[in-house]
Amino acid sequence: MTSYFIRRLLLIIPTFIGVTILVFTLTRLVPGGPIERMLSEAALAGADETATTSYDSQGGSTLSDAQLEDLKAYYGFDKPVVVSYFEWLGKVLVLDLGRSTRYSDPVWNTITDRLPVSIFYGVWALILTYGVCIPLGIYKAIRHKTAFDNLTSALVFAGYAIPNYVVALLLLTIFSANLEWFPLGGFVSDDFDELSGFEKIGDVSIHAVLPLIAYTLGGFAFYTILMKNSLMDNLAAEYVRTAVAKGMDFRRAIFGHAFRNSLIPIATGFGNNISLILTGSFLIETIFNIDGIGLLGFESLVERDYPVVMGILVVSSILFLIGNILSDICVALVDPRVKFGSGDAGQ
Amino acid sequence: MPILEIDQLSIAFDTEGDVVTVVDRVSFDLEAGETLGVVGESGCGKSVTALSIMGLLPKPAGRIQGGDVRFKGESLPSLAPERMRDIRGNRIAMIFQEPMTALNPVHRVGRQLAETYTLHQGELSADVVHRRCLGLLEQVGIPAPEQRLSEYPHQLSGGMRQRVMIAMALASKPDILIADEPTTALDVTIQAQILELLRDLQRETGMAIIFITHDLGVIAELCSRVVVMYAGRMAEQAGIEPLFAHPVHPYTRGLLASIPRLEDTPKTLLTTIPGVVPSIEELPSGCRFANRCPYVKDLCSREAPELVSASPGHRVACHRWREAEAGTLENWGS
Repeated sequence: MTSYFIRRLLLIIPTFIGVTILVFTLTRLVPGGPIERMLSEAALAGADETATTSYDSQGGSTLSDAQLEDLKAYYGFDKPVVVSYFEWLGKVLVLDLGRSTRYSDPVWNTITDRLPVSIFYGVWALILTYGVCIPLGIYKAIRHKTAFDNLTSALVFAGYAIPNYVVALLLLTIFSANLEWFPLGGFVSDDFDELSGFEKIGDVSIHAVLPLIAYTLGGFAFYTILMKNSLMDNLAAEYVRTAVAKGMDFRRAIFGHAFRNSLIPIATGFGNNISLILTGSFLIETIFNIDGIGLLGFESLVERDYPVVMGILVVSSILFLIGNILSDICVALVDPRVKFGSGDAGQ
Repeated sequence: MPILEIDQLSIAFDTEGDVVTVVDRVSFDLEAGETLGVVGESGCGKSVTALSIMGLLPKPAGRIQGGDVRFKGESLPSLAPERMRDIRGNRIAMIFQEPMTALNPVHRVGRQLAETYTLHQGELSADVVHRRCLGLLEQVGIPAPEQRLSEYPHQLSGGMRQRVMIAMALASKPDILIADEPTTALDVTIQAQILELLRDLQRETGMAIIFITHDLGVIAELCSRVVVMYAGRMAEQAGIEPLFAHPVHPYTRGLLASIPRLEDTPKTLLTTIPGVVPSIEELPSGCRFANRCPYVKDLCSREAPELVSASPGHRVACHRWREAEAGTLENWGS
């Protein structure tokens, strides 16, 4: 088993190189980029009086050829893509992700500045999703086909069917704009720094309520129904009958025997949540004006801020690859039949 | 007094908008220490009868419709759930057909074995329980028991798993063991070993066994008395020798005639009972075997035969039992 996970960890390296090569090459192929952006900015600035005339980004009359070459050299566009990729990779290895072409800040700082916000929402979304779905799924399985079961099914499927940005807008309109129960957006209030410790916690919490609901509502259906069906399958299994035949009461048979077996399908996806923490949802972040990684990634793509795009890709692809391994570990933890790598006594 | 009395037991299942009686007024007794065979084909109600004794009918679809099950004179269906849990797995234990799925795949064998003790003898220390579990595995003939206790079910063979199930059932020295086709899923040599084991264990512990099977050969090897069931009703009940020597009910005769024998002419067709069991939704009002019976007469399709005593200890439900008893019915298949 250990050798299996070592092999999986080593496999991260070629996968990572593959993913980054692909995206790096794409950034060279797609039209637009930092130089074109600068040219257009310069053209706009220089053509203030003659704003009606269109500019030609290729023929850029506002910059001299020498200046253009300097810019290309500055961004590494003067070299072939393979060379600049490996230059970039070499810097990544010493944790230098370059500078943002938009803010001129180091990419690493740009990302880590927003990381706490994204991790905060990611972790709470995770806790909320599993904390609601597992108990709800269990209860629904035991109360199968009762009014409670039908009603909650309707609710979670409604949440699943409505796109999360619609939920976000609805929540914002009803609870913030009309009822004024919650703030209109942001991660904290403007006067956050002047608040005392407890007030700070309260402030962050009240800002988090609506975005968290918008984040998690759509996922409830999947995990709740997965948990319910999985538990019902196991409740009908023969080993539960064996447990009851031993003289066990039904409740203990559920939690002592059926529960762990029904966690197996849930555990399969657990590790992947680690990458959800980072990706977030730029739509929800935009609506609630939260400065997280999702929004940063989206904006840097639109603005062709490639160092930031690549930096987010580095962090998220590594997290995703580790997440996959974590899922495997989770499955192996709950299901003793799973033996990775060794040929003996498998499934 | 018999240790277990099944008295006019009827069991009903709810199907789509309908109630179906799957077991109809079944009555038999079990004496302490004896082995009673219950034989019949799939769907005849033998397993459902066994489950109802344990109070394990699938809920909410199945329920006892009428009659009673008495254990040492005490009516089991009317017991409070807590009291029933004291009996279940403690005084009456059960083993099932599929040892592959009857054990929890994610718990170690030792933990599943120990559970019977923690449920019924909570006062025992962990140390004592561990030693008893070891003893049980030895008793059911599992080599290297110490190692097996820390293994998971998927690491054991089918025969081993059934031995673990038997060990689990024996843990609290039950008065009755209900074995629901325990050897059906095993291959023939393992089957013989498990039967041998059950016989030895019965001799050691003096427990009574209800052995449910569709295999008359197994019945002959293990049981002292037999109940033959057909389509939810009892067809015949007799001691093992009278039943095999002088079967009265046409269904029993058909079953016995269908067993291939060594002295049969090779490469000829096997004897079978023609026709199929009537579906549970369309049971005839008369004798349920009427559509397949070579001795059928008008009365059979009009009126269901009552279970009557043909001779002491020999009961049969057939309108023509007197002729069969007197030997004036022609042989099966001739």
